[in-house]
Amino acid sequence: MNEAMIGVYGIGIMFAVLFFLRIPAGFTMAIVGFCGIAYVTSIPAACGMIGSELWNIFSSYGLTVIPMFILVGEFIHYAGYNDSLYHATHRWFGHYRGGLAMTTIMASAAFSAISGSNTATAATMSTVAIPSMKKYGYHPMLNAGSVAAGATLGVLIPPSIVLVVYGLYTGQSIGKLFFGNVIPSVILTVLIAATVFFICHRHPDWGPKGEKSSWKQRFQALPEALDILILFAVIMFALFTGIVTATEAAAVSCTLGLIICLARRKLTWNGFVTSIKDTLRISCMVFMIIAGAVIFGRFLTLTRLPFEAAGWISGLGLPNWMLLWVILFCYIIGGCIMDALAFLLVSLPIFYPLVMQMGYDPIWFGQIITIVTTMGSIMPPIGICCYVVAGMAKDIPLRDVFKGSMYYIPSYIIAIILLMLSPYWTVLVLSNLVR
Amino acid sequence: MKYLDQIDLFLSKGLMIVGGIALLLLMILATGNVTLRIFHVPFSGCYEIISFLGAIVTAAALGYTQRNRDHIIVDILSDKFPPAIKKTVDAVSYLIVAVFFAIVSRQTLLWGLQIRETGELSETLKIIYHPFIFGVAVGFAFLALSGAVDFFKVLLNSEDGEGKVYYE
Repeated sequence: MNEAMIGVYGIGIMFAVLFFLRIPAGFTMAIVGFCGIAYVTSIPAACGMIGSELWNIFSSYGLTVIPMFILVGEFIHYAGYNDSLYHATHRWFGHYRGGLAMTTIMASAAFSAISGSNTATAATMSTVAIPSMKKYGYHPMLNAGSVAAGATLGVLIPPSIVLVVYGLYTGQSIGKLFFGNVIPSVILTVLIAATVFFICHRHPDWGPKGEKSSWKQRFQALPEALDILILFAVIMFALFTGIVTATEAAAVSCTLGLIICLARRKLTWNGFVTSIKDTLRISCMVFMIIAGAVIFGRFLTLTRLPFEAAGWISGLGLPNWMLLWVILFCYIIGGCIMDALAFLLVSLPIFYPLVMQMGYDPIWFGQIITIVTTMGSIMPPIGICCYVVAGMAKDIPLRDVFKGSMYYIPSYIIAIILLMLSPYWTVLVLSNLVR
Repeated sequence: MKYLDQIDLFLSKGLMIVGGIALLLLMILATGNVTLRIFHVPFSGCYEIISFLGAIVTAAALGYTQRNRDHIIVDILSDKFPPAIKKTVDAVSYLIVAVFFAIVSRQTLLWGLQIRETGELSETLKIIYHPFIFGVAVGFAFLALSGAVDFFKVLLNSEDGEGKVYYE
């Protein structure tokens, strides 16, 4: 059998195992990749490879950035900063029509600046924002939809775990990825907030005005929100100057975050222990997906499938933009049915060499696929953010959460088009500044 | 079965404590090295130690994470299966996980033994590092054990195979 065909069968088997056997995504990729390598080479060769390969992944210095970024987000989460952020943004935006929904978007963006996770942001903001919006008579679809859409900013706004993993997998600078991500994040945040404005313009009764805060109240709410800003600034400054590695930047922000939380007496012993425990579990989950993807990637490389596919597609003579849209379409479908991170790592060994051969910038491509896959997290049938929101807001049916989230899809599409029309001004202008 | 499950839980929790300590050490060491660099006295072996600690952080959580079903499962189709089929599928998948990670654990252990026998030292600090490899092998052994416990639980009907947590 042609070796590339073995690769194709491998991908088919991997998806079959993933969908039918209920084996975790990372394990599936590792198992199928291992069996594939054993088939292409030999069982002793595959066995010899697996031990050293997994040790190399687990002991990779670059990957230690992951537990550090997760830990700082956990400290902030268990210290209750979500409440402070929501309170502060509520003071500033709550009196506009749909202001609470916009507050949710802004607070999600601020929380994402530390958290780096969709579902953590969705769970956190659900507990804070949904009761407030319910109290002011917000429509359930606007209520739940804004929380779900706001939560997607979790993987977009730096430090994003998805971008970290993308950077580590493709060998791109995490600092460049984070800085390249700043303008797309702002664009998407503004577009999502603008969507709330348009929804409320169309359905004025969906988002009634809240009470207006005095200027004194507004400024009084700011100091705790400033803590988050300081942490964000530390991470970004450290990465921008290149004086520290990504792991060190994350570790310093962790230490600083812990000191701030303790100084403000916001983090209890229980919160501290739970932060550590959650970090270990989440890091382990992320590492296993990366390990699985690396092993599966090794198998695909052995079959030469990515190179054969790249050669075959370039031989079709289709324009690059058309091929890119086909790839993005795959990511949208993948994002709909799978977790963003898992799909990203499943697909990168297949698509990344192709995209590089087409001559696209890897930093820019990273931003595009992050937006596309995160859009999938509010789309049916999987739409993980919607499931989290529906799980937290028991009285809002999942159907309404999905319906409410659908209003925000055009924002993502506009953001993607903007990124495609002007790669330089949206992504590269800032990422190129990083040393 | 109950005792095996309790032993697995006890040991997994113990490993989580080891992982937690490694995580905090990692944070302190990386921050400390940045501070030391400011004073032009960097700790030259810092990257190595951080890498080894990173391996322990992940390996120590393998068993506990599997016990808690924290790994991402795509259940869009399998959720529609009738209970009997779902149970069979779960049993098969737990068995595959147990066998595969038992192999992985063995191979990692063999790799560590090979490093020990050749007397290989770390690049910068020139210290032995095979104990960390053994640590990772132990983590995979616990993952295999959790898979095996889950398999027997499904066989003995003490669990329905449900429960998952998503995270991105």
